[in-house]
Amino acid sequence: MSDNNMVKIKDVVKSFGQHQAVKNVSIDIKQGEFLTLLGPSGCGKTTTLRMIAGFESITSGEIVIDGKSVASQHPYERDVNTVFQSYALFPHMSVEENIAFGLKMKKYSKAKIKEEVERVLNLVQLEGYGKRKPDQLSGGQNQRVAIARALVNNPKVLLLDEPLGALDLKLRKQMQIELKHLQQKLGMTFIYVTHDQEEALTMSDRIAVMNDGHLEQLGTSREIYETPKTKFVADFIGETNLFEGEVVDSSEINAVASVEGNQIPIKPIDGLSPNKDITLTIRPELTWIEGSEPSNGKPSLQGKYVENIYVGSVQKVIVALPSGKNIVINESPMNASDLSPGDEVNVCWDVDKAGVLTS
Amino acid sequence: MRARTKKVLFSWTILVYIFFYVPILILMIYSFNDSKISTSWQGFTFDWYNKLFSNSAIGSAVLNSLTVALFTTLISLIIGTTAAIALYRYDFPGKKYIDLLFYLPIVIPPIIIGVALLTVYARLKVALGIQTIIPGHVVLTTPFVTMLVMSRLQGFDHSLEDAAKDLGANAWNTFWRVTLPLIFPSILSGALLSFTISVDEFVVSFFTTGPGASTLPVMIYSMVRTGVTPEINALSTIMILVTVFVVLLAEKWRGTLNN
Ligand SMILES: Nc1ncnc2c1ncn2[C@@H]1O[C@H](COP(=O)(O)OP(=O)(O)OP(=O)(O)O)[C@@H](O)[C@H]1O
Ligand SMILES: [Mg+2]
Repeated sequence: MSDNNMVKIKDVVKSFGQHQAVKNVSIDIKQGEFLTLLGPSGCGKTTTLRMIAGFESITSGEIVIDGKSVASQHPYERDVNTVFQSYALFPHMSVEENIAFGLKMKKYSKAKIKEEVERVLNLVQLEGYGKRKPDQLSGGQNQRVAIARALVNNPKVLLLDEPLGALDLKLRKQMQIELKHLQQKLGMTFIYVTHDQEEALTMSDRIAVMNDGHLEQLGTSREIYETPKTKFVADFIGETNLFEGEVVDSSEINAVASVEGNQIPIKPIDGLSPNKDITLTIRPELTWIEGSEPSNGKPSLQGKYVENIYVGSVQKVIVALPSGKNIVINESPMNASDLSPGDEVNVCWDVDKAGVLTS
Repeated sequence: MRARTKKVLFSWTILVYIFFYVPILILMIYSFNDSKISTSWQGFTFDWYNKLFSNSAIGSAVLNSLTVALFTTLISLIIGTTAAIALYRYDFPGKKYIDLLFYLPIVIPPIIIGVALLTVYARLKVALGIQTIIPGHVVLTTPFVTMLVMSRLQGFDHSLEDAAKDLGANAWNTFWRVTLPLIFPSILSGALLSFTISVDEFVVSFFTTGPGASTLPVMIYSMVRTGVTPEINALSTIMILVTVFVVLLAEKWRGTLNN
């Protein structure tokens, strides 16, 4: 390996007949990295993963694993293992036999297999469950067996396709943390598929957001959440208020756009020019309400208070703008509201906290 | 009102069972009747069974039947299972009709299969014997094997095969260690079904067998032509008991294998 990229996905395309499921995706994944493919249902996450594993052929492009192009390798020749969404545990084998399967195929000695099976059972905290059949275990336990069965082979890359999808919320959150710790402990490269953005933000070193077969944005959790590059990413990750606008004035140090009929200061990013269409993305938790227009030149939009929705950890304040569009503001649930419907309010934010999207 | 509906349903069920089983029961009882004419009860005897076992023609018919059933079962298992896997795995234009062609023999009258085979044999000048019965039985039983294996294949999670490959198993190991064990219960059901169909089959056997080479049903038919004797009752009783035994065995295996 000349660089420390474990997996290189280069301009990969996958077509099923006329339909392109994956369109020109390129991602470099570093050794030891936790990379998540995130996107809505049908965007091509599983297909991408299956091409890495070798279950689907590549229509065009190249996949390189540990310095070797894998196009001609069968799944059983690749140094990667998969944790399937349905777990895919062999129902006619015990937990031990399931885990031993990969080592048996590699013709390890009986003693070595036994030792390795013990080791991974320990790793996933399932000591003593080796003799059971998969249908005698709970969903969460089967999940661990599936992970153990893949890990025991010491793959260079572990592929996980929505491995926590079938678990209840509480167990899922717990497993997210456990999996992340396991990955850090082993220093193994993980490629993880999910459509749950919170899960992706929690676990990943980097996230590749996919939409309709193409890569929308690749970056750390923080980059993806705080500086989304496209409208799709801004909208898909977390909650946001999106406003269409047009640049009125732009210079190196400040820029102004016309948004909802107001002249509003925006972050002066590269590539802005007068009359350019932009989208402003404003996170509810980065906005607040003031009774009068801020005098310090902070951006704000005037509207009428509509209602307050209490959702536990926050309360969502809904304000209707003159255009009829609503804007959502998150406030601490501690703040008792003294507003009544129809009151004039100003929704404010910091210039550099509102993302400016040009595509 | 509801109690009455229940009563009617209950009586009806009893009637259906009587209709199903009373003739068979009578036949079984008369196989122990110490009289040549099966109209009145003359006392209990094992004579007919003794006579049966000393009848060498019947002995060879039983042997013929078992031989035919054994080969039929083996051949239809191999053809039926491989066909099910192929039909399941590969898709091509017009596949729907190929699928249908495979199941058609189930509804084609056996007499047509028998006559058709006989025509082919005559044309190819094949000498008839018990070996010429086997192809006809294979035609009758294979669709059932294919159907059973196919439904099992459709029922199981295909990421299991992917998982095997992912863990380093090539196509051969994937088949022997994962696919085959998973479809095995259906293959076993197919085997028992093929065996019982073949043992009980009359029409095709009658048309395609050679002189002096009778299977049990063909033998019974030729014996009945001269009147139903208690000997035939005894023979039928044994056949029924064996069939019931095989079916019970199949049920038991299915139960244990599915878990
Ligand atoms: N074998 C196939 N034949 C034809 N089309 C396919 C095949 N596999 C996937 N597709 C199509 O490719 C697209 C991407 O599918 P994929 O399974 O990769 O989505 P996904 O992102 O994993 O979605 P989900 O979150 O629902 O699992 C879909 O439109 C799907 O219908
Ligand atoms: Mg998927």
